[in-house]
Amino acid sequence: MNTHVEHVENPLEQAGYLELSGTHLYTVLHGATDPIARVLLVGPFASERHYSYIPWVRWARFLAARRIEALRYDYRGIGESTGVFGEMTLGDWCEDVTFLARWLEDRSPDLPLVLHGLEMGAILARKAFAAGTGDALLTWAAPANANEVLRAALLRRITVDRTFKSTVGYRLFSDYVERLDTVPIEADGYQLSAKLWRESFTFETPLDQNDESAAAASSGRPVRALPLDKSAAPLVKGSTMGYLSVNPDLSELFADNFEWITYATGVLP
Amino acid sequence: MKLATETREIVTVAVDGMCLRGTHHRSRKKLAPARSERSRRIGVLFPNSGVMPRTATGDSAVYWADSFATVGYPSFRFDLAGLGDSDGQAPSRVLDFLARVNTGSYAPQICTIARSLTDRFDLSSVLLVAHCGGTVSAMYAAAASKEVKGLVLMDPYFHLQEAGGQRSLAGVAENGLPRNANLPLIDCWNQLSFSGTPILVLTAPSFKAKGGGFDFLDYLLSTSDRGNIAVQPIEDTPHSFAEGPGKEAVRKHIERWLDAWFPLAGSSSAVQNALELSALGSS
Repeated sequence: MNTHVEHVENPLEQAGYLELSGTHLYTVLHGATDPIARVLLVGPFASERHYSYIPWVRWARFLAARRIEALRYDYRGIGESTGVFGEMTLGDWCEDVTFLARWLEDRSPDLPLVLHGLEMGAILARKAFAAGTGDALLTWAAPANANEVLRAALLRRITVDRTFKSTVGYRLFSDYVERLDTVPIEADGYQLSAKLWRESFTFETPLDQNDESAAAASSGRPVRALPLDKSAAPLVKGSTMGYLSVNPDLSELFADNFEWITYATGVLP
Repeated sequence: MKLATETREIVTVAVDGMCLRGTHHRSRKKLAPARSERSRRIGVLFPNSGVMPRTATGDSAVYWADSFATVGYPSFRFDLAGLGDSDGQAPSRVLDFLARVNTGSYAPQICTIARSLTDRFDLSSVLLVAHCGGTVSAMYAAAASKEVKGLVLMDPYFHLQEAGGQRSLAGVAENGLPRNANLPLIDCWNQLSFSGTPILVLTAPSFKAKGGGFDFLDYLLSTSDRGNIAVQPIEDTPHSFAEGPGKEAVRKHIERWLDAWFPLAGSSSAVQNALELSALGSS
């Protein structure tokens, strides 16, 4: 293997690939000296990934600086990971979560593991958690189901098309959905397939979305679900439409959730 | 965790004590062993598109880098300081970021990356493929770097943004330019143009329409083109070039331009260029 790596400022922050089913998941491990817990960061979907990227990386660094090892990654077929987006299913992206959670657990079996999902990632994390993975669950801005996320992407596509309505013609949302039954539709540069669209309606969390204590009671492990709104943009609700903030001060949100993680996992920094 | 796959590897460059992270798309075409400067490979380097991570909108930069590597040009996508996976802090607001871009703050990083890549991968030189705000940094970098030999600029701009993001034409024109002209950047453009640096400009219709007003590109082409600048509009694509026919059209135009200006050793264009040079030498 021919690699070229120069000295890095933080040798604990390592990017690399993990192989899964013939594709390579791009991962960044934010290591910590003498870690007290681990967090798997299950990020947002497709184009939302791009807009939330800077604050999402900051959150990982915030945790690592406080002795919580954090692993973030790109879904298969998205970002730096290999694979063809149009061929992926929500099931594949669930598999990414369980695979990486296992990888993290194997690294340091004695440390508690928190699953933390943002937007679409919140559904994926909840599914893995409901299946028994992880010691605690933290979600931010969880949608009701995966269709909410795809629908937002499709709406952005419509806005783009209306810029070119002289050549494309004016179509309604329902026209797009109807077309999706026969051909994939590109949204934000990603090919949405009919299969993914149909699957997304029933792809929802098995845990009670609105009741943390019920979710915690049914799983027997701590659960926290924060809705988050546009004040946290572009971490959530980032989009291609007129975002003004790149790297907002989210230190209060980070500190509060860090505190919850230490409480939920029973560790003290 | 592996640092490389069969086709890609993670690369880092240290700049001012910060680690800048990037992805190398390995060239997948074998060439004859390098015997001279002319036969060494040329690399293609993508800086960030605005504040996007190095994948760019819809992972378009991944697609382009993969494509150019497949036809023989090793390609590199890098996150500049504070962006994507690289160290550093990005400004909190877009306008502050653009202010850094407009004054050329990111250019020294691009120059260092270009120098580092040419050394480490034995490249003859580097071409920059940049989009929107990235084009501004790319022009500053190309004017300052001896490693950068060509530019692809997707929707470049030459004005300074104002609060509200409009291209204001208020105020007195200077040298035939509006008051919001980015004059140091225009100096860079003129320097590159007069030095004969090959430049391919790709434009999206929505960007032209947005804001209206003074057409900087048109003005600059009328005053500085020396035959080394090609402009290609890409129809039916948004400013990102990631949707509709944009992604594919960009790939085709850049590959054609690469083949014309920077042919690979042994390619038909390279043979043709060599014959022309030889004919010139004997005449």
